Amino acid sequence: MGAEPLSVTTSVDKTQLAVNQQLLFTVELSGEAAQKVGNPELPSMNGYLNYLGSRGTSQNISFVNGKMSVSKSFNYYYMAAKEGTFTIPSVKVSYKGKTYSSKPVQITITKSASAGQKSGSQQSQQRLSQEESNEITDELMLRAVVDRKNVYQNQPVIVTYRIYARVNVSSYGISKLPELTGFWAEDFQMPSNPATRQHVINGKRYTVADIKKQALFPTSPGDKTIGPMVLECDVRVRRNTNRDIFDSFFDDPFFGRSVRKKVSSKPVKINVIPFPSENKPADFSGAVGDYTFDVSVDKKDVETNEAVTLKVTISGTGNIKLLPQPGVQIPPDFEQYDPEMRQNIQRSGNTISGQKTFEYVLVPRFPGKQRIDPVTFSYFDPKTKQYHTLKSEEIVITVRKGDDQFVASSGSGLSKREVELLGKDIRFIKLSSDDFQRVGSRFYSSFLFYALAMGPLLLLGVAFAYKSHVDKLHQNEAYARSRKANAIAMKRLGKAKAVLDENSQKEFYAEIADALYGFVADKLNKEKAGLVRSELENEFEKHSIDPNVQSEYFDLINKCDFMRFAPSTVKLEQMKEFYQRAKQVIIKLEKAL
Amino acid sequence: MKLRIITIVLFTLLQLAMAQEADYLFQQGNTHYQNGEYEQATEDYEAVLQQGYESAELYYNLGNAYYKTNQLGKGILNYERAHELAPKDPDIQYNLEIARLRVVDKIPEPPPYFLLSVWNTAKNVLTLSQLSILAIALWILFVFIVVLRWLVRKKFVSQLTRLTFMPVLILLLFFTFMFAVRFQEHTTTREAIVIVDKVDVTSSPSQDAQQVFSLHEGVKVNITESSSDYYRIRLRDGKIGWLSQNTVELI
Repeated sequence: MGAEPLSVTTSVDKTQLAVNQQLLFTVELSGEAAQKVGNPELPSMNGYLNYLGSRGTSQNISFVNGKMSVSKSFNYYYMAAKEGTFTIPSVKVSYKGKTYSSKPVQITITKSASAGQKSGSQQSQQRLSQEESNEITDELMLRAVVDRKNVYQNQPVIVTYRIYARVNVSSYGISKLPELTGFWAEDFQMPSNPATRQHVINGKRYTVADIKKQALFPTSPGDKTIGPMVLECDVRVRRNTNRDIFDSFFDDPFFGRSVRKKVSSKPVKINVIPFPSENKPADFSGAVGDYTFDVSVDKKDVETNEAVTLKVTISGTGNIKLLPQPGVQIPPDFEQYDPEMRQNIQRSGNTISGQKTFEYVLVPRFPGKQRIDPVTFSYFDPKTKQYHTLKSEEIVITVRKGDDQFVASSGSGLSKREVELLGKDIRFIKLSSDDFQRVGSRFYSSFLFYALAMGPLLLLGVAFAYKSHVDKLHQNEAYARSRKANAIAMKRLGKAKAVLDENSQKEFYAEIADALYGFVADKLNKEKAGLVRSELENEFEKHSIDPNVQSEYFDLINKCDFMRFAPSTVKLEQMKEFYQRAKQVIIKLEKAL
Repeated sequence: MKLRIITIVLFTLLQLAMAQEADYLFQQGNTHYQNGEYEQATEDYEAVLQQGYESAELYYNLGNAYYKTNQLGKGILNYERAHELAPKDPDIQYNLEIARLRVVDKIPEPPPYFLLSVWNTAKNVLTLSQLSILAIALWILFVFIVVLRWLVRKKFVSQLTRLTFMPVLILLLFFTFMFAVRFQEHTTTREAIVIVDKVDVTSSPSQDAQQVFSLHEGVKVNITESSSDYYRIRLRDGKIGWLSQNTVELI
């Protein structure tokens, strides 16, 4: 090796092993650099071997021919996981940029005799004895003995820490408790002075004592390791007989030397199996063991606001402490307080058992028959590998109305004002009532209402009829005048014709003027006396009378007025012509007005 | 003719006597109430109703008496009836509020839109009776103005009617509209109060129907339909179900 500063060698304690057996894998670094490199990197075992833990390192320094040689060993435990031939790859260690590697090691894993998941205690006991004889080679040993290595989640593993001694142990103390990641531990009660018994292993007699016993409940599935426990023992050592005479002086029971020795148990690998998924009840929440179940109430006939105690008791073997609260469906009409939980656990023999009680205090707030639905509790029995569901009876509580006042539902969501009002009493009654009315009589459904709604309609109708009558009368007068206007005018003209004489010309012109004025007044339904020229012009414009007719009309009027008061005489011919003109104008106006 | 007059006189006298009897019973109920004899007080007040008389005060006192005898449902029912007759009365409002606080079921009300709540407040300022009186009064006034306008041809009168015609018409239309809306609401919405301790509301109107939820004494429900012995109800938060008719009483 001289030239190389570092060499790596690997070795195994056996090249043939069965599934579930342990393998010690040693990596040895030697050479000048052995001390300077760190821990070697472990190769991948491809699932053939499961890493259990490190057993520690040892160092060996020796001087050969004045030259120091250092070797450092790393020990690792593995467990064979599956059968087959497997080559452990080489271990590589880097030093100063150079990689040093070991030779691969081939191992053969055979089918284990105790393969499968049988967990019969006899078989495991047998295997333990096999392991026992392998391990117990020293004079003082501490072993962690488990009752089974394959368990369901929450199924307890009973681990017993057992001391094997061929020496006289005067006292001991636990200096390091095992590391129990992934377990819930319950300690069994052990006598302070453990009972000892004798065992003969490999022809040697050992004193054996159980010093600590625990039930370990794995909390999740997977591979778990019970860590090593370290024990410090005071051991009385007897001298070897081939020592010198001086030493042999002390070689008797009374003068034996007391030596403090540290022993450590090996880590134990536990395989935790998850719960089977088939037939898993919906309400299963991880209770494992064997249980009985009882639900009861202290009274079934109560008054409102009288407390009822509902008791749920689960008893049996298993992890009582981790039992979940059963799902009790309390009707909303009960005021419910947090349940009080009590448990009583017996840790004796090889089982953890006990009972757990949940007490619910329920206060019924409302009368009536209140039903508490059956409570169910499911657990898994690892012995039969089956789920069991226990169901309680339905409980009917008869609640009678109590004498006390209402108790407000202690509610959230009340405003400040409402909270203030809660404690207040109602206001006092009204001492008088002066407006008694017939039940259900409302003004809007009374006869009076309809009468008052319809009556005015009648009045309105009557008033309208009267108004239209008056209007019509008024209108008829004008119409009649208008219709008669022509006849009257002609009659007046006739009168004028009758006095058509040179001697009575004043009368003639008066009659003509009367006819002209009267005709228009009748047509427009106006007073004849009140007619002035400007008004007539307006009316003619309104009726869009031909301007020629207008001027002719006014011309005639003017002439009439003039002739009535003029002293002059006119000829008969002129009067006849005037008469014709007046007649023509009236005919023309008759058409337009 | 003679017989008819006698009948009318007798009938009026009888009415008067009954009204006095009602008042007497009312006072008797008050005395019982003041002495803490609430059971007798409820009997007296109920007797007034039996006589066919009602008033806001009577319903209020009856509500109080029921409240004192732990009959929350009937208490609230009568407060609601009193509240309908006299919506402004502070005592009725106060006691109704206190009684409602005792109701187990707190039915959350969806927050109303601002405008909607303004409209609701405005609409309910007057009672239906008051609205009807106002609408009728405006109607009569309006008709009077129209008749005056038609029949009297005096200058002063025609000026007055011309000025008042439009405002009165607008007011008349407004209050008639309000009255119509409220009247429609009044006739179509039927409300009831649960008068039993607890009632299971089911999904259909039959005995073996599935229970949807349960209600407790004093809750107000809207009745949307009725079928033989069942009412279909709707709560303010929109829940719908059926319940037996004898578990509630209409307001």
